[in-house]
This record gives sequence, structure tokens and C-alpha cells, in this order.
Amino acid sequence: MSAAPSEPLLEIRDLRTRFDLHGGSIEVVRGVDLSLASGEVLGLIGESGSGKTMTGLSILRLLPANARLSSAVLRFKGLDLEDLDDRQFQTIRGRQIAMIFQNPVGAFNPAKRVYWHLRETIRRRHGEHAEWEERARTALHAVGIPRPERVLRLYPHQLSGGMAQRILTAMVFSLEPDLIVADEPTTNLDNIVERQILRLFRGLQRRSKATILLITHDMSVAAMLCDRIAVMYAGEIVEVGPTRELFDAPRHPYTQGLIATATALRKRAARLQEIAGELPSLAAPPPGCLFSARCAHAMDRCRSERPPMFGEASHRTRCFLAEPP
Amino acid sequence: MSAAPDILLRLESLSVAFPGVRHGGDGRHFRAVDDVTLEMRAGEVLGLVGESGSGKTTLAKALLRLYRPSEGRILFRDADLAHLSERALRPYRRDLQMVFQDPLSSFNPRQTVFEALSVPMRLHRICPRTKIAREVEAALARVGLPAAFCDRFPHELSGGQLQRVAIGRALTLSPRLLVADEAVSKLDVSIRAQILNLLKDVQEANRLSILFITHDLHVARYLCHRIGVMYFGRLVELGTTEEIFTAPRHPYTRTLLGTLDEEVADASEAEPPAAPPSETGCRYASRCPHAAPRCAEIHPVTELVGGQHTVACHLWRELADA
Repeated sequence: MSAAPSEPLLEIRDLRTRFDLHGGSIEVVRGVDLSLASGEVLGLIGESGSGKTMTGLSILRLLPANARLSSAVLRFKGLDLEDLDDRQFQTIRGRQIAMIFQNPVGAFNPAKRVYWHLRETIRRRHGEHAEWEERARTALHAVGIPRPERVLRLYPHQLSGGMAQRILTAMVFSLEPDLIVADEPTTNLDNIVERQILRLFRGLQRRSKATILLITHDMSVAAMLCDRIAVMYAGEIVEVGPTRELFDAPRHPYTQGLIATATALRKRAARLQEIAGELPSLAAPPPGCLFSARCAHAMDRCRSERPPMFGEASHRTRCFLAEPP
Repeated sequence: MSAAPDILLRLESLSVAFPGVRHGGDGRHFRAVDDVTLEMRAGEVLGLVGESGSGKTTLAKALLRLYRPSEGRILFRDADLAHLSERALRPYRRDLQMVFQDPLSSFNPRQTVFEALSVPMRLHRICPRTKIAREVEAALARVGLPAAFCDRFPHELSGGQLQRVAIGRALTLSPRLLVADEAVSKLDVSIRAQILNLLKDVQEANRLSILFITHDLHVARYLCHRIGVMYFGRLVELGTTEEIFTAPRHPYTRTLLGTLDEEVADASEAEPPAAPPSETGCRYASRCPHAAPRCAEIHPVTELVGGQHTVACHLWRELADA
């Protein structure tokens, strides 16, 4: 982890994503600020409904038709993404920014064999006449597939989940994108395979110095891969900081709860610490801190006033408890 | 646990084969569960762990007679459930209940919570009709939900709330055995803790037996008294949670526990093969870092390690010394 370069690879300020529904609208991403330095792995952690996936899809402009996006800054490699029309954006998506989805098998065309997918990907990166076969074999070798020739002839449905995720990973890394958005890349896999894929990811990332936005609900996955972690709750980032620091001394009560529940299972607790309650409704969000209804430390102020971010530049927390005296 | 614990249910050499699903060229039926012998005790939580495809869900569904076993016996109360007709099974059904992984798909989307809870009570004649409303509210209260939930539809509930209703529904019938199949796998971390605590509470309050199926050993450790490890249809190791965690004997269990981390580090061959491996020898032989020639040839029998701990591995003695 080197010192942050002057210009981040991706900079987001006040990102908002809204869905128009019959009769009203709900804001699922509520003013997200993020910046990713080149070569950095940033974890975006949150539970279902926290807006983490929508943040990723917003960056990639893959939102459904009834979604509306706004931002103060959405800059990638110095380019304002919001100024680009859809055709211009296509030269970025899938080339400079690539995405890895949760369901690897669903990311393949079921009627095409593995080689077709790799060929198209490699040609997209290296041009129509690229020598794809050798590159495909090398890419598959790099993700731990020892006999690429056999695998290249298979159809997606013939792949196990782990194998499909390996191939998808090979495809994405062979694009040599500047930024990879990986949304729950190992969530559907079994423990052993998950560990293998995570290790593979870490190795490839270190070798290629890829910049990754890793979206996950699993603290242990984030701990293994990420330089920094941003915790999302109800559409907002509630805490962001270096991984080690966030684990050792979490400041937001929600982060504290997440870490406690995640580690309690590994520590053999007599009883698990719970975070009582559920996410607030984003159709009618409460006026103050969105976590206040579930927070053991909530004060009167928390229920009426929305906390801003407190703390130093490298570690910020959206909680009045973190307010400097 | 006393010296002779009450046996609630006993599986004897249970196998489940799926006719039509053949593998390789040898034309044999695929056995999703292969020769499993297992006892469930009254008031115990037994964990069943293994990867997807290891047969744990099939075993549970056969035990509940949602599948018909191809061989073996399911001894429960005075009967062998494996061979009863649907009609003869009916009196036993209320004793054996299940909570599924995906709460949303285990409810009828057009039924309210009240209907979802009251229909099984009516079918099994749990109480007079006039008392059903009160029983439904009590069932919701047991799982920490207010009576106002009665009029809600499944899509109006969160995953955690639905899973509470599913547990509440299973408990309305006062079952002796609850099968929970990956009941917390799809839930978020903070909600998962709530549901695990709830399961622990209802288990202790009712002295309920739970067959808890999971691929997550840490979750199993929290809830289970004993843990069985399955691999490709076979039960390869069984012991108390303590025994499994402190002295795992089967190489597969050790891999699951991550104690053999280094050995799986770069072994892409260590992924589960697409078709069941060797029918004759140990099913784990093709992935096992310690496999000896006899492993691929001779099916390892289940041996007693000590205490309540059993393992099916030719090499467990040598590996224990290593």
C-alpha cells in the first residue's frame, strides 16, 4: 500500500440512485462518496438492501429502466462518466471497467462453449485478429485449470460453480481492465472452493496490480482481500477505513455489530451477539440516523438529526459517537 | 448426556438412488446417499456438514419421506418409515417437520401468515377450531413476532421475519424432530445471529431434536451437539462437536476445518469432481492428499476412534500419529 496518488482511478461523490415506483420513489443509494486509488482493493460491505450492489451497477450503468442516477462527481481516469452517452460508455464497460457477478454460470451464454467466451473476450481486448488460443490457454492456466484443452470444449452447464467462476475470472483478467467490480464473487460457492477462489483472486490481483471494488456481505471475505473497507447501511456509507484498523477498532455501532457477529461464530460463543431489528423502510426513512432504531447507543439527537461523516481523512464514520469533543 | 441416551430415530444402511441418473459407462444408478447409518437422540442437535452434492439434503428428505429410500430402514417410534405407504405415514408426519433454506419459496405467496400457520394445525387437528386464532398468535410470539403479522403476505416480510414464521409454523405441530436445511445460509450476518439464537432457544425450551444441515462448520459448532460429515453420499466422520473440532480424523474433515490449508492451497484437482468418483474404494481418494493404493480399491468401513467418534478412512491411525 503506497501513498495515495494525487488522482484516484475512480472518484465518486454524492452518488444517488432512485427508483421510480408507482406512486412514489425510493432512494436506494443515498449520497455515496468513494474513491479508489490505482492498484487498491476496496471492499464494499453490507447486507441485502444496503445498496452495495446498486452502487456497483450505478458505476457500470447497468441499472434497470426505472432507475435514476445522479452524482456530484463520477470520474474514472479523469473522465466524467456522466458526460458520456451510452455508445461512448460501451467503450469503457467491459474494456476498462469489468464486472464479475455472483452467479458465474449465468454470466455465460448457455448455447456457446467455453472457448467462444474466451475468444470473444480476448478479441475485444486485443483486436479481431488476435492470436486467442495461446492467450486462452495461458489465462486458464493462471486460474488453476491444468488441462485447458478439455475445458475449452465444455458448455457452461457442464461446469461446476467453482470452475465457472475460475473461467469467468480468467476472462475478466484477460481483459486487463483498469477496474474490476466484483459482486459477491464467491457467495454461491462451498467453503473449500470459496477459499480457493479467494486465494486465486488475491494472487492475480497482486501480480496484475488490478484495482478491485469488491462487493460482499461477508466480513471474512473482505478481510482476506481488501486494503480498505467501506461499510454500507440503508444506502449510506457509515464507515470507511483501512481493513486492519476497521477490524481492530470499529467505530460505528453497526460495524461493531457486524464484526462481533462474524467473529463470534469462530470464537465459540455461548450465545451470539445479535443486531436486533431490521433495515428501515427506504420508502419512508426515519429523519435521523438510519441505524438509530437498532442502535444500543442511540441518543435523542440520533433520532432527529442525520449524522455527517466524522474522523480523519483515512478513517471516517457516520456517527455522533465519533464526533470530536 | 447419559450413558444410554434415548434414541429418537435410527437410520440403518440408508441409501437413496435416483433411477435414470447414471454415471460413467457402468450403467449403475447414482446414489445420492450411500449406506448411511446414524442415530438421532432425543433433545440433540445433530449437524450434517458437507459440500453441495454431498447428499445431506437428500438424506434429510429421505428421512422425512419426501424421497423414497432405495435401501435401508428409518426406525422411528414403532415403525420403519422407509417402507410405509403415504397413508400409513400420515400419523408420523406431524412429528417430523422441516425448515427450508429459502424462506420465500416455502410459503404460498397467496396465503397470509395466519393461513400459513393455521392450515397445518387444522390438518393435524391440533386444537379446536375456536382456539386456532389464539394458537397462531402464540406461535408467532414464540418466534418473536407480533400478532399484527397475521394479515401479512410473504412478500411483505423480510427474509429473517419469514424464517421466523417458518420456524413458528413447524413448531405449531409440536414435532419431535425438526430438520433445518441451510436454514440460515441465505440470511444476512446480523439476521443469521438472530435466527441461530432463536433456534437454540426453541430447541432448549422444547427439548427438540434438530437435524441441522449446513455447509458452514462454524455455524454447526455453535448449535450442534454432534456433527456428521458427508462426502459424496457417504457419512465419512461422526462425533461430538468437541471431537470433530479438536481431533478431526478424516482428511476431508480436516480440509473443511482448514487445518490442512496448505495442502489445498494450489490443488485445483481438489475441487469436487463432476461425477461421483470411484464406486469401489474411498470416494475421497481422488482428492485426498494422503491417498494410498488401497484407498482407491477398498471401501473403508466405519471404525470407532473412541468416545462417540467414528470415521471411515483406511489411514486414520497413521494420520493421527503424524
